[in-house]
Amino acid sequence: MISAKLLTGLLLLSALAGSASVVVTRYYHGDGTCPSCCSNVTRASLLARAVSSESPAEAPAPVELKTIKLAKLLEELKGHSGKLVVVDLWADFCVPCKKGFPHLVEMHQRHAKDGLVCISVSVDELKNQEAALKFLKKQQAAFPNYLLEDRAEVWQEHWNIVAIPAVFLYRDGAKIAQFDYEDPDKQFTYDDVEQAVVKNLVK
Amino acid sequence: MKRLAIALFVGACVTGLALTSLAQGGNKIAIGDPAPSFSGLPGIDGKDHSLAQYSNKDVLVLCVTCNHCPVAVQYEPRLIDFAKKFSGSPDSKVAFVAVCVNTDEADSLEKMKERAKEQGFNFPYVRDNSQQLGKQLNARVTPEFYVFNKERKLVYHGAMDDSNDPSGVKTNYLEPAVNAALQGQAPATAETKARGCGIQYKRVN
Repeated sequence: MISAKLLTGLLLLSALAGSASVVVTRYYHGDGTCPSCCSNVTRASLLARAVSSESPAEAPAPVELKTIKLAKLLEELKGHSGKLVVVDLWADFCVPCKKGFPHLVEMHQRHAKDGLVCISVSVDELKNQEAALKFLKKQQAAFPNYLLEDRAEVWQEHWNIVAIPAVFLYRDGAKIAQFDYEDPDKQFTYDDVEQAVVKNLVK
Repeated sequence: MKRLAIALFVGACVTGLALTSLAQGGNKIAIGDPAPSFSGLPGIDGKDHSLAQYSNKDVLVLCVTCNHCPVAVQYEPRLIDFAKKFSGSPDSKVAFVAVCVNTDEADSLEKMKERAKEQGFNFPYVRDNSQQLGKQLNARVTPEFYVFNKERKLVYHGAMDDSNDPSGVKTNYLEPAVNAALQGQAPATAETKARGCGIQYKRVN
């Protein structure tokens, strides 16, 4: 149950959200099911509804998934002047990506008011766009969601990675942190991302 | 006594530095590196598999794959075709071994056996329970391929071909690499980026 106090708090926070933002993007593999995440998702989605339906600052945005070229995406990342941007690279075929995705939604819920911008980027094939969108809707991913049109080699070369999930922090189009699975001994967790987000938000 | 303490301290520092450099990716496999040794990996045939048992073959091809990944599944018919062509008979010069590193329930040895039976796998499919081989190979996705020559040096690492969708394949990387290795030569393309599902490794604390 969400109390009136909490709602008021959320409204205040979301009204303040316009000024300074951070953007977070992440990659996912997707295969849909994620029973262990359901409680988080429910909590996050309740919060999302509370914020998006009541706040004039955040219009109730439908969850969409637009296709985009990497070059265009990199341009788009320059467009959040001064805000921290989290980019989450994922796919509907990627189990660890989908397990982690609720953390991105939570981060958005928790830090959007502080100016964090979250962006998800799917590397699914175009023919799997519907499946990816279905997952995003289920997750209440109420932020910009893109599906890369480029071949895998293009984004693999750009970020110098082979695998997803991968998460990047950007500010003014410049990458300030990268979290990936390239070293089997040092795979990132969402705690790592969250710590970096908090550190860079207060900067 | 003081000298001994200093010697011990210096020794500890050097050891610490050495371990740190290893942990910082000094152990990443590269073209020309020897095949990581493995033994006791349980296979779907009920037997344990080792690097040594394939020593009579001129070329060893390893494929890190799994059951659950849709990309790996897309490649299953291609693995079967490859095995038919290169490692299908006892006198084949090529050994082809599929390795599962993943820890998901869907990738257990029992599920591997089921999957192999359903799909008619014609190659050894073994489990790397400790994930040690996966780490030594620096395997990051499924499927990811490795070709070792007669001296068991790595001569190719990466994807099998250039498209997950079999109808979109324009270039096969694996077969030319194997053919070159059989001729004792280095392949024209030694490295590509594998595409597939990220392999999750157990966290080392």
